[in-house]
Amino acid sequence: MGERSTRHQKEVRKDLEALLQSDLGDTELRLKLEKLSLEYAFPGLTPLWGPAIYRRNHRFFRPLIASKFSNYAFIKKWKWKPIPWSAELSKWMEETDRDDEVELFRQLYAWSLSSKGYKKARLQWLKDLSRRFKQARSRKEQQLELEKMNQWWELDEQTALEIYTRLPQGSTRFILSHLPSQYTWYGGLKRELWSDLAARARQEGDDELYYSLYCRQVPLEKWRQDALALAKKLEDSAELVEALNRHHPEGWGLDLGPVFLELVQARGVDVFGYLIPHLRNVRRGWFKNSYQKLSDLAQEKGWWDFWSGLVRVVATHKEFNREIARLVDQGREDRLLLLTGVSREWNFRGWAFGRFQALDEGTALKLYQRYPELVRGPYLGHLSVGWDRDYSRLLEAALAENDEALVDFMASRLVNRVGHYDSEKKMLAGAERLAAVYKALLEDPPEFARRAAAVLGQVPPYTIYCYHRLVRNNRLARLLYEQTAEIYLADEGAFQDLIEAPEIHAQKTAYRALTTGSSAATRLGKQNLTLLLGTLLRPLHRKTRLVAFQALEAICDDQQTAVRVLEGARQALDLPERGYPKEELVGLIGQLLNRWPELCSKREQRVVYGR
Amino acid sequence: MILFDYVTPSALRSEAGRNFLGFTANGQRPVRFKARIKEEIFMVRTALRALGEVVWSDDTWFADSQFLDPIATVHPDRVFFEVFSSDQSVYAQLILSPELFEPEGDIVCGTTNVDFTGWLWAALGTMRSRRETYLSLSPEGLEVETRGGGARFERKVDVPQPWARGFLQLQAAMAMPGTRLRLRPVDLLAAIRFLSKNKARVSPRALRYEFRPDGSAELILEPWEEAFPLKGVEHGFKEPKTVRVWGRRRLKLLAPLLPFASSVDVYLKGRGLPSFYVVHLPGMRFVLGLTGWSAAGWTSSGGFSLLVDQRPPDLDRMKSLGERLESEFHLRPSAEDDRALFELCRLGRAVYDLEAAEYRSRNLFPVDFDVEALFPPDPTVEEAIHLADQVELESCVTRETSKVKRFKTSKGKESREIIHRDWVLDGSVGPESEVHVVVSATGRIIFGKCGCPHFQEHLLNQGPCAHMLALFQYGRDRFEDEPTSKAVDAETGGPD
Repeated sequence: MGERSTRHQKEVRKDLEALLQSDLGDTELRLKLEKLSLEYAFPGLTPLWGPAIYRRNHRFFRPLIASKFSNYAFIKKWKWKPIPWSAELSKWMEETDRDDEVELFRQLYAWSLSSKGYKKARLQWLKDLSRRFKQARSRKEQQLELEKMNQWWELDEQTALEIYTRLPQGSTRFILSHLPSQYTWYGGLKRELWSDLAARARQEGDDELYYSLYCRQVPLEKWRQDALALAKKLEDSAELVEALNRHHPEGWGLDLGPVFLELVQARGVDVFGYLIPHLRNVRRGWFKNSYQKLSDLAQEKGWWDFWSGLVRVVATHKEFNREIARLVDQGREDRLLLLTGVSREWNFRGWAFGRFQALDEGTALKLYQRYPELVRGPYLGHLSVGWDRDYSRLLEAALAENDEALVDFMASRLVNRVGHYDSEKKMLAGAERLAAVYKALLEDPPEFARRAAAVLGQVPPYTIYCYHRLVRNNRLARLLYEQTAEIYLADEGAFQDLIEAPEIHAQKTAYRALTTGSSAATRLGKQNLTLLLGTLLRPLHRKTRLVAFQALEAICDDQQTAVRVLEGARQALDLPERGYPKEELVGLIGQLLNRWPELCSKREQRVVYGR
Repeated sequence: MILFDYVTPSALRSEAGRNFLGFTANGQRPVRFKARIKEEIFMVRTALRALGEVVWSDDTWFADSQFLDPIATVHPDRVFFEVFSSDQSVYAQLILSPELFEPEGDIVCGTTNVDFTGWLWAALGTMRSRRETYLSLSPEGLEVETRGGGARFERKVDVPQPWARGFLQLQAAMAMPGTRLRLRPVDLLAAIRFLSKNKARVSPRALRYEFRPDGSAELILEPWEEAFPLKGVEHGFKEPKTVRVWGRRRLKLLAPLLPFASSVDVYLKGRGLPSFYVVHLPGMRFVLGLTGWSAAGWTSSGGFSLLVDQRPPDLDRMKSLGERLESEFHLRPSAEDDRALFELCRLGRAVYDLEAAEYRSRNLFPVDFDVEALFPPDPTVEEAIHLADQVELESCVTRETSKVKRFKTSKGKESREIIHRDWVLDGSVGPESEVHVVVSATGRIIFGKCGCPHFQEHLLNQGPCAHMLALFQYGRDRFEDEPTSKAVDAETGGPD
C-alpha cells in the first residue's frame, strides 16, 4: 500500500490487464486492485476494470467499484477528459439493471446520456422513466424504478401525473424533488401551477403534495385571489392565519407587498399573525412602493407593532435613519423604543447571526443629544463601527458629556483596529484620542483599571487577528493590553472582569498582571484559582499558555495552593497535544517541587548522578 | 399539542453592577424561583452555555431536526434543567445546588418549559462574577419596561412523538444496572482532544472501555487503537471485560466544562447501550447521556423494549408513590416499588437520579399524555419475550472481514488491518428448529433466516420475527469485543 502516483494511463492499463487475466482469488485480486487504485489513472479505466470485476462477483467488489467509478479519465496533472459511452458499457448497464444494483445503474444511466445536451437528455430521461414505470407491475417494482431513475433532470406535468396516478402513496417525495426550478437570477419568475396534478392530489386527500405544489408553483395573481377569498371567508383570526400560512408562496425574490396591503386593508389586525413573520417578502426597488403605503396605513391606524416591524425589517438604511431623525424631532421616545433590536436574523444549528439597522453618524448624534440614555442603552447595538462610519463626532460628544458607558463601548470598538484600510486608519485617530483620555486616568489606578477592564471586557471574541501589528499601530491597544497590566490589580472587580472577558488577549493581560508576584496578584490569583487551573487544560495558544504557567507559579505562596497547581499540572502532562509546551510544564512542576520538596511523589525524587 | 405560553423572551439584562438572568417559564405551568447567585457565577455561565450547545447539537449526516425548549424543575434541594439535542441522541441535565443561591420571595416548586434562544446563549457570555447576578425562573420573565414594545407570544407545539418517547425511554436507560467509574477529567479530555485533531476516515469508529483483572482500565479509540490509561479508576472485574460504545464525537460537548471539573463519573450500561457522564463542577453537576450510537437516538422504537421489565405495574402502588413523590420530591426505591416508579417515569411523572439511585418528581407534560400512543404494544417483541425460555443456542460464531487501510495515526501514516466483526447465531426457538441471525458490530440484526410464516411472508421487510429477536436477546451476552485494527507491514500486508 503506497502513496498516490501519476503513472501514465498506458502503464496502468498494462498492469490492470495483467491482473484481470491472472487467476487470483477474489480477496487477493481486490487487495491488488486497491493498491493499483491509488494511481490517478485508475478511475479513468473504469470501462476496463468495472464490467470485469462486476461480472466476477458484484457483491464482493461493490465497494471498490463505488469508490473508484468515474466517467472522466485523468490525462496528466490538472487535465481530464470525458470517457465516451460504448456498447460494452451499455451491456454493463443492462446487467446492473437486471441485478437491481440501484446506485451503479444510476451512475451508468447518467453517463449514457452525458454526451447529449440538457434538453435532449431530459427528454430521453422522461421517455425512459415513463416507459419503465409503466412496465413495473407491483408497487415494490414501481418504487424501485423511481429509485433507479432518480436523476437530476426536471419532470414535466404529464409524467408526474402518470407516476402519481399509478403510485399515489410513495411518489410524492420523488415528484417534489424533481419539480422545475422557476427561479432566475434576474428576478423574473415564471410560475405555473400543475393544476391537473394538484387536483389529483386534492382528490387523494394528499395535503402534503397539494400544498407543496401550490406554494412552489402558484402564480402570484392566483395566490392573491385565493388569499383575498380566504380573508373574506374565514372569520376566525387564528383559522385565517393558519390558512394563509399554508398558502404562502415560496420562491426567490417574490414581492408580496401589494397583496399584504390588500389583506391588511381587508382584515386589519386579524392578519398580523401572518404578515409580521413574512415582512421580508415586502421587496424594495423601482416601482415597488408597497412599503410606503403599508407604513402610512399602519401609522394612520395606530398599528405601532406592525409599523415598527416594517421599519426595522423592510425600510432601507436611509429610511430607517430618516424615521429615527423624525421621531427625535417629534420627541416620540416611546416610538423610538419600538424601533430597536434585530431587523433580520438567521438561525442555524449552534450559531446564528442577525442584522441591525445601523445608525448614521448624524442620526446617532441627534439621538444622543436628545436621548442619551437610548444611545447607551437599547440603541447600542445599532452603533456599528465599520468602513463607512467611525462615529468620531459622537465620540467627541460622549467625551464632552463624560459619558463613561458610551466612551467605553466606543473604545472597545476602536481598540482592535489595526489600520488595514483607509477608513480604519481614520479610526486609529479616534483610538489615539481615547488613548490620551485613558492615559490621563492612570493617576487614579483603581479608576483606570475599572474603565480599561470595561473596555476590554466588551471586545468581541475572535476580532484580533494580528496582535503584534495591533499593538504597533494602535496606541489605545498598546496602552490597555501591554503597558498597564499590573494596574488591573488595583481594582478587584476590574481584574475579575478581565480574567472572565470573552476575548483571549484580555484574559492574557490578566494572566500577565498575576506574574508580577505582588501580594495583590497572589490574593486575586488565589481567588480565581479554578479559572487559572482551567488554563492548564483549555485549548490555548502557546504564548498565552506560557504566561498562564508563569501566573500559576507566581501565585503559589503556600503549600495548599501549590498542591492544587501541582495536581493540575501533573494531569496536563497526559494531554496528547503535540503543540502543548510540555517542557515548560515540567519546568513549572520542577519550580514548585523545588520550593516544596515534601510534595515530590516517589517518581519525582531528586537523583544525583556521579562518576 | 402543548401550548408554550411566554410573556416575553428569556433575557439577560445588565445594569450597572448587576445582571438579571430571567428565564421565562411557560405561563401554563406556574413555577417560581428567584434568587441571587451567591457564588460560582462564571461556572453557571459556562454550564448554561454548554447546555445550550447540547440543544443545538446534531451529529447526524443529514439532519432533519427540531428542538424543544429546555425543561426546568425546581425542588427544595436543587434546581435542574434538562435538554435533548436536535438529533435526539444526547440528553443533558444541569443540576444546580441550593448552596449557590440566596432565594428571594416565595418558591413554587414544580416543572416547566423555559424559553431559550440563540440570543440568550450569546448574552450569557456577558455575565461577569463581579456583578451581582440574579436568576429568575417564573412565568413573568424579567419585568422589562417595554413601554409598548413587548408582547405576549405563544407557541403551540405539537410535541413530536419520537421526542416524548425518547425522553421517557431515557428513564429506562438510566435506571438500568451497569458499571460506574470515576475518571480524572484529563483522561476524558485527552481522548476528546485526540479526536478533534485526528479524523477517522475508516470505520469502525467505536470507543472501548477495557478493564483488566489487575485493576487497571483503558479507554481505546478505534480505528487507531489509541489507548488512554484511566489513572486511578477502580473497578471490581476479576476477568478482562470490554464495553464498546459508539457516537464518541458527541463527547466534545463536555470539552468546555472538563478543564474546570474536579472529577467525572461514567455510567456504562453495556455494549452498544447508552452511557452517561456526570461532570462534577463547583456547586453543580452536568449529566450527559449518549445513546449507543448517534443514529440510534433515544427515540428509535424498540431499542430498550427487550431490556425492560414487562410485568404490569401495580396501579394502587403507582398512585400512592406518585402522591408521595409530589410531597417528598424524591424517593429511594425498594425492590417492590421499583416497577411502579419505573412506570411513573414512563408516564413522564418522575425522573431517575443516576447518582443517588433514586427517583425524583418531575411532570414532563402539563397535560396527561397518551402513553399507549408513545409505546404502542409491539406484538413481535411481546412474543419474543414469551419465547425467551424456549431458546436453544447451538452456535455463536464470530465472523471477521479484514481490509488493509493506510491512514494517519499519532505515530504518522501507518498501514493497519481493519477487522470488521459480525456475530452469527444459530439455534432453535420454540417450534422453529432452524433460526439464523447475523448481528453487526453495532449490535443490530443485519440478516436472518427463520422457517416461521412471518418470515416467509415478509422476509426482513417488517423487521426481524419474534424467533430471531428471542435468539438475538439470548445470545447478545456472548458477543465479545476485541481490537478492531492492528498494524501491518506496508509491503507484505503481514503483521508488523
